[in-house]
Amino acid sequence: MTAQTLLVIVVIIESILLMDALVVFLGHGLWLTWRRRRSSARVAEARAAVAAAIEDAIPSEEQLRPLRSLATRWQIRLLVEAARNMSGERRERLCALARELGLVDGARAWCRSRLWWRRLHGARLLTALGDGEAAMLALLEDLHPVVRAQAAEWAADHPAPGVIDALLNHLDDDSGLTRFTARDSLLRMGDAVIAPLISYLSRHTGRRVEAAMEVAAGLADPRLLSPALAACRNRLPRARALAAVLLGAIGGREGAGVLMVLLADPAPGVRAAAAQALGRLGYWPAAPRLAPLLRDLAWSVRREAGLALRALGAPGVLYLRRLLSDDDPFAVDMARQILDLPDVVWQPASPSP
Amino acid sequence: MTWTDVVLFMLTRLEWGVLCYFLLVNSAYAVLIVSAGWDMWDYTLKARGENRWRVLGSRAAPRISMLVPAHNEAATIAQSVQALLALHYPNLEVVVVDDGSRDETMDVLREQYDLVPIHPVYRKQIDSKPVRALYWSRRHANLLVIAKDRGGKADAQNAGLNLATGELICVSDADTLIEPDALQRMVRPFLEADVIAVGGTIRVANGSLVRGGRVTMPRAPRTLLAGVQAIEYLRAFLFGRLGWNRLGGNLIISGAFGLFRREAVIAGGGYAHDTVGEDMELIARLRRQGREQNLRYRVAFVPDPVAWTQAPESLRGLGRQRERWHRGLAQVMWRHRRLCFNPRYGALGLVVYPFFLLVELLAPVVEAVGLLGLFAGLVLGVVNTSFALLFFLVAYGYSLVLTLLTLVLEEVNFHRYEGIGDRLILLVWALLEPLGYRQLTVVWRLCGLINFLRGRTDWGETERRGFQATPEPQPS
Repeated sequence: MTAQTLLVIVVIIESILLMDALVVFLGHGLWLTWRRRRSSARVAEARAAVAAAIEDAIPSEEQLRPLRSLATRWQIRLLVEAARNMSGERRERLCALARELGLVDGARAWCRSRLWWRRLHGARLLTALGDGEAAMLALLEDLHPVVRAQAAEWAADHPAPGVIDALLNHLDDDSGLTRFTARDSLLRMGDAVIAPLISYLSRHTGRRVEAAMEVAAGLADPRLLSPALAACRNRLPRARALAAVLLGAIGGREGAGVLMVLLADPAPGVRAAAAQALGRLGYWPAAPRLAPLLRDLAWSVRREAGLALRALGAPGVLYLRRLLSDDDPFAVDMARQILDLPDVVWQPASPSP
Repeated sequence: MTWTDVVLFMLTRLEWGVLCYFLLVNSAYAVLIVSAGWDMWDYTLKARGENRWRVLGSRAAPRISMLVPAHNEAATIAQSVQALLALHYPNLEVVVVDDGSRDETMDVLREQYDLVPIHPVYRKQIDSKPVRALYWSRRHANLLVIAKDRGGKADAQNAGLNLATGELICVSDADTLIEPDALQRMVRPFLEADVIAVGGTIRVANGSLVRGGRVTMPRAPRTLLAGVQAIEYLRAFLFGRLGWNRLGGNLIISGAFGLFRREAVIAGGGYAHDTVGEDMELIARLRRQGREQNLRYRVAFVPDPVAWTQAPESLRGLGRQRERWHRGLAQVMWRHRRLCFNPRYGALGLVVYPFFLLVELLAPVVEAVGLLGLFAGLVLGVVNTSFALLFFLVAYGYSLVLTLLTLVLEEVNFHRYEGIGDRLILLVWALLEPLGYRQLTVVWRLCGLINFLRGRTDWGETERRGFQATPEPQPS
């Protein structure tokens, strides 16, 4: 075979590929345009049917006809679109409508599929409709992280004890997305999480406590005082810092005492969090302990200690003024910066510990 | 052996060399397009039917600081900032850095956003030119304005990094239009893995309908120069950068739209002042440091978050831009030359860097030599005319195949352009792009290389056209 023949073959192959690509590109465009024109009226009619069905407790077959005539993909799209803006009784009706159309059964079947994307698709539909408890509970332990995360998203609206325990176990999941979704769902659940969270914190140590303390700090409930006090002794600095944040939100003499101890913690993140928490509590007896922290090697500790002193009012400001004549130039600099702040201060959000 | 024989021998060898290079580059492109298709498939499956409002409404969503360097942007700054403040993200801070503007940029901001001076206690972790004043908006609690001495875009971004409070920072130009939900999509890779930077697709806005700082109706550009650039951007982002997601990661996140982990950028030393390719330089440095410190730093590309930019419509403006881009590329490749074929840096040193060196940086040299050699060969009768024509057809056809496959990727997954008319226009630009325009870019890129060798480091003049409200298309 000569080089020229080879090139001719390549040109022929390229031409075939070009034709294929052209057909797909233009064909897809034409199909989309045709579909849009053909279905826009029917979709509008079906959308109205969904709205009517949600209003009526028992929709008539006549009402449902436009919806039934659509392809399953469109039915799902319309129902999910409506479900995102609905809650309570109307959402129940929407769910009943989905059952009536066979979409819930279909989604349950997808959730059992061997293909992860089909399970994900089923899980997303059931999340939108708020149905399929048994199927979704199984998916909380799915092998694929995106499916697990989707199941965790569903769980936010189902604060049952078993679901909460499963979510708590996912706080140290291998997948970052699952961890994030589990944390988010637990925060959304709110009050229902407190008792299981206390129990979880009492049973675990190390990284698991660290992950759970993030949720606890977000919930900031006074019932979490004793786990917070225990977490202040955790070996991981981040867990101790989060415990300090939580104590700062809960308050109380016992908590303030522990925060004073944390001011001498070896980790700068913990010292900064403790200083910030004491400032937030306005615990003025902490002023003599906060003042030396303006000589700390870590800038974040100096800043938080300075701001905390300022938040304590007169006693704190007195210490700040004294620090203006300190031997440590860093302490003097920070004290001056804090004292120079105007009365109404804009402060950027402190970085999370 | 006569001189003529030597020249003929050299020309023959040269043509073979160019042919081998052609095969190597196109094989790499074939791998990239397959990789891009695979990644797109995976991304589409994961994103289909996703409720992004979960991230939007989440208390756990990471805080994003949007850094907007502005220099003499009085005409567009108010609209740009308004569009950024209206982005759909729950925990967003907009940091506008006025980089020593001599026009009314600060006056416009003061008036529009009711700015008051503030004195935050902040830490200057990265060096930048002196900050003159800081302002906070009474109308938008999440708007911070920094007024500083002129130091260039990189310096302004560094000043913004010092003041920003977000866990993530988003860099953008004052004249880039970002789609409202783009940040929600961009933030996802940060939730999934050890990602330090995420890039998103940038598209050409020329010809599209723009209203209130938003592209409300994307349309294919109507002019040749903007049209071929639209094709070029699609190819660069949808198969170039997406393809790298699975092959060792990207080396470029566009300075016009990228999301970074702030801590990593600060630890890396921020943006470099002495290069015109500061966006690429930052990524190369962060990835290099990550490997050196055994950190699992990943750079990801998300195909559908869209930012729109106004492409230059004059040959002069475009030429300057391409010259600067290539000069920047050369500076970065030279600065990080230690990476080249260095097994210590894994895929970055063995695959990504050599690709950028051989395919991106040296391509204009090889193309220019190949074209001149071909011309000389034809004149001297060394190269068979029919063979040369066939070879040209192969090269042109391959380029078209790649472009059309990219258009198919766009069409099947995003179909941003509505109507058959726009698709046909895109096809026309795709057919024309390899004929003439690509050869022009070879010249501009060669100029970039030559200027790099001469040691030129300035930005030159940059063209700011801004977004005019495009008239709505009339119904046919």
